[in-house]
Amino acid sequence: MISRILLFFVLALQATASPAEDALEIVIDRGIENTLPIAVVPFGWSGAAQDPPMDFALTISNNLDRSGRFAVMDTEDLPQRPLQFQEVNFRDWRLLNMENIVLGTLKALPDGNFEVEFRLIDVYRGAQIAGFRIPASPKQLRRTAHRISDIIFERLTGIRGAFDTRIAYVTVREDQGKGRRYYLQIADADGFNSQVLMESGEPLMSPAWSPDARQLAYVSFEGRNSAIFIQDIITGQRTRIAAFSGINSAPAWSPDGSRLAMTLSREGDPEIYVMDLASRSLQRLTNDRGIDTEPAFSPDGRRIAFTSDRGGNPQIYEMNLNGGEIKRLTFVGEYNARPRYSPDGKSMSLLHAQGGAYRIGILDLESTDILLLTSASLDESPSFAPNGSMIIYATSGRRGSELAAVSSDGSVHQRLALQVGAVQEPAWGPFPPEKP
Amino acid sequence: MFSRLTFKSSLLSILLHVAAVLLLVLSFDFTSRQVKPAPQVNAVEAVTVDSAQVEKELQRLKELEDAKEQEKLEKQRLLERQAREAETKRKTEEQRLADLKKKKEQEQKALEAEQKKVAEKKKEQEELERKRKAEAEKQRQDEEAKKKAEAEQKKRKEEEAARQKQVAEQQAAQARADQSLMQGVIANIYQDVRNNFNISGLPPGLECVLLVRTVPGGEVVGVQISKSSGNEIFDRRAHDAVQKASPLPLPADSATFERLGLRQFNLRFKPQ
Repeated sequence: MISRILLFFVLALQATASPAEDALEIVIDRGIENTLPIAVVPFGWSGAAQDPPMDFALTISNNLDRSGRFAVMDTEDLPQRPLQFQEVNFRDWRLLNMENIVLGTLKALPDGNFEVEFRLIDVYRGAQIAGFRIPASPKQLRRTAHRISDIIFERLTGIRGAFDTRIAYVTVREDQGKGRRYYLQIADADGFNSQVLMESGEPLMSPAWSPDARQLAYVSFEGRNSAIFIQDIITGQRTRIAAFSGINSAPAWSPDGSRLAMTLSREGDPEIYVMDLASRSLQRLTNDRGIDTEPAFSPDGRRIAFTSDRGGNPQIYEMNLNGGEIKRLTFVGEYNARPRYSPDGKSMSLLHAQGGAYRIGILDLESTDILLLTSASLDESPSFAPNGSMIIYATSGRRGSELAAVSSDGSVHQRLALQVGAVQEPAWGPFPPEKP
Repeated sequence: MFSRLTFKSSLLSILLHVAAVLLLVLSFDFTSRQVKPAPQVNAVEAVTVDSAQVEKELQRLKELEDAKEQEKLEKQRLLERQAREAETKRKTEEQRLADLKKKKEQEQKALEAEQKKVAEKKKEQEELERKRKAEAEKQRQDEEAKKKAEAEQKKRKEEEAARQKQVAEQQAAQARADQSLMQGVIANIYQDVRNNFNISGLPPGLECVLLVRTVPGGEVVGVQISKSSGNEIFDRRAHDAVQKASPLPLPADSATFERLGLRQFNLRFKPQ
C-alpha cells in the first residue's frame, strides 16, 4: 500500500504542468466516511410569551442526529450562540473543526401565526449555504422544523431529507372498561404529532401507505374475519376491498398506486395475489403448497419479493410480475421474512432470525450479504424511510413493543417518541406530494 | 599711367590753344571797341589808316605772337616732357625700389617659411619619435598587462570552476535533500487532506480540482475551485478538507518554502 502511494507521488511530481496553472498537482484519491459535524444554535425568539411554543433547534438536532449522518454538537459545547450571520465568529467554530452551523429565529406575528427564519452556514467558506423565511401556523410549527431539517439534510448530503414524512403503526393497549383496544395511528417521522385514524376492539394489522401518501391499506379483523381496507387519511372514508374467505392480509401498493399485492387463502393455502384497484380484478402470482406471504413491490414495479416457507423454513424469494422463475434471495439464517425494497432497489430490509433472536437486517441484492442493523432479540417490521437513509421498526423494550429507528448503515439507533401501549408494524410513509 | 599723362598733355595743349584764340578775339574786340567812338572825335584820322599796313602790322604782330607762343609752347612741352620723364623715372625707381623691397620681403618670408618648415618638420619628427617610443612603451606595458590579466583570468577561471563545482555539488545535494523533503511534504499534505476529505454519502466518479495558495508554515490563504465536479456538495467537502487540514505540513523557513514551490499548487480530488 505504502509503496503504491509513493509511486503515485512520483507520478504526481512528474505531472507538474496542470492545464489550469503551471503548478504542482497532488491527487487525493481517497477520503474518509464520517458523520458531518453540525451545530444547531438555539433559535432566537420574538413574541409576547416568555418562551417559544417549541424548540426548533432541538427538533432539528434530533432529526439530524437520528439520521446517522451527522455529528450534532451538544448545546452546552457551542462556542457562541449567534442569531445572525454577521454575529458568527468563524474562527472559533473552525478551531472546533465545526463545518456547518444552523441558526435562526422564530417570530410570533400579530395574527397568531409565526415566521421562522433560518440559515445554514458553511464555516470554512464563511458563507451561507441556504437561508429561508417560512411562515407557519401554530399547527405547522413542528412540520416547519422538519422541512428545515430536510433542507439541511439535502444541502449537506445531496440526499433528499425524509423528516417531513409520516409513519403509520398500530398500538395495542388495555383500556379501562373496554378491554383490549387496537389503534391505527399516524405520526410525524420523529414520532410526534400522533393521531388515531381507526380504533377497533379486534386486531388491526399491516398498515401500508399509498404512494401519494393520502391513503392507508390495512387489515382489520372487525367482524371476526380478516379483511383488507383502504382508508383516506384526510376524510377517514374506508373501503373494504378484500374480504374473501380465509386469510386476507399483507397489502402492498404498487409504485404507481394502481394495484395492491396481498396474501389470500381463498383457494386453500396462502398465496400472493395482485388486485387491480380500478377493476378489483385479481391475479394470482404464486402457486405452491407452502405459505407465500408479505409481498412487496420493487421500486420499478416489475418484481415482487415475498416470504415463503416452500424451502422448509421462511426465506425471501423474488419473482417477476410477468412470470418467469421464482428466485430465492436469502440463504443465511434459519428465518428471513418481511422483505421491503430500499428506495433505490439495490437492497432489502428484512427480519432475520438466528438462534431465537429476531433482528433487523439489510440484504445487499448484488452480493446477497446481510448486514444486521440491530442487536436486540425481538425486533420486527422494518420499514425504509423514503430516502433510504433510515429504517424504523418495532422493538421490545421495557414497556413492551416500542418504535425505534436505525440509520441504514446501522450506526445510529434511537427510540422514537414515547407511545402509549405496544407499537406494532410501523410503516414509513412516502415523501409528501410535491406542492403544485 | 602713360595714357593719362597723354590725356593730360593733350588737355593742356587744347587749353593753350583756346587761350590763344581767346586772346586774339579779345584784342580784336578791344581794338574795335576802342575805335568805335573815335569817328565822333577823329573820324578823318581813323579813316586815313592804311588797311594793308594794318593788316601787315597785324600779321607781324600775329606772327610774333605766334612765335612767342610757339616758343612758349615748345618750352612748355619740354618742361612737361622733362617733368614727365622725371616723373616716369622717379616712378620707375620707386617701382624698382618697391619691387626690390617686395622681393626682399618675399625672400625673407620664404626664408622664414623655410626655416619654420624645417623647424616644424623637426618638431614633427621629434613628436613622431616620441609617439613611437610611447607607443612602444605602451605596447610593452599592454603586453605585460595582458599577460598578467590572462594569468589572473586563468586563475580566476580555475577558482570559478572550483567554486561552481562546489556550488553544483551543494546544489545537487540541496536538490536531493529538497526532493526528499518534497516527497515527504507531499505525502503529508496528501494524508492531511485525505483524512479531512469526507466522502460519506457522495456518489462515486466525481472529480474536482482546487487551486490552493499557502504561505510559509503551511497556512492556507486561498482555496479556489479551478475545475468543479458539478456536484456542489462534493466541491464543498473538498474545499472544507483543505481548510480543515490548514496549516498544511509545509516548511516555515521562507527560503526552503520557496524552493519547494508550493506557494500555489493544485489538489485533484478523485476518490476511487
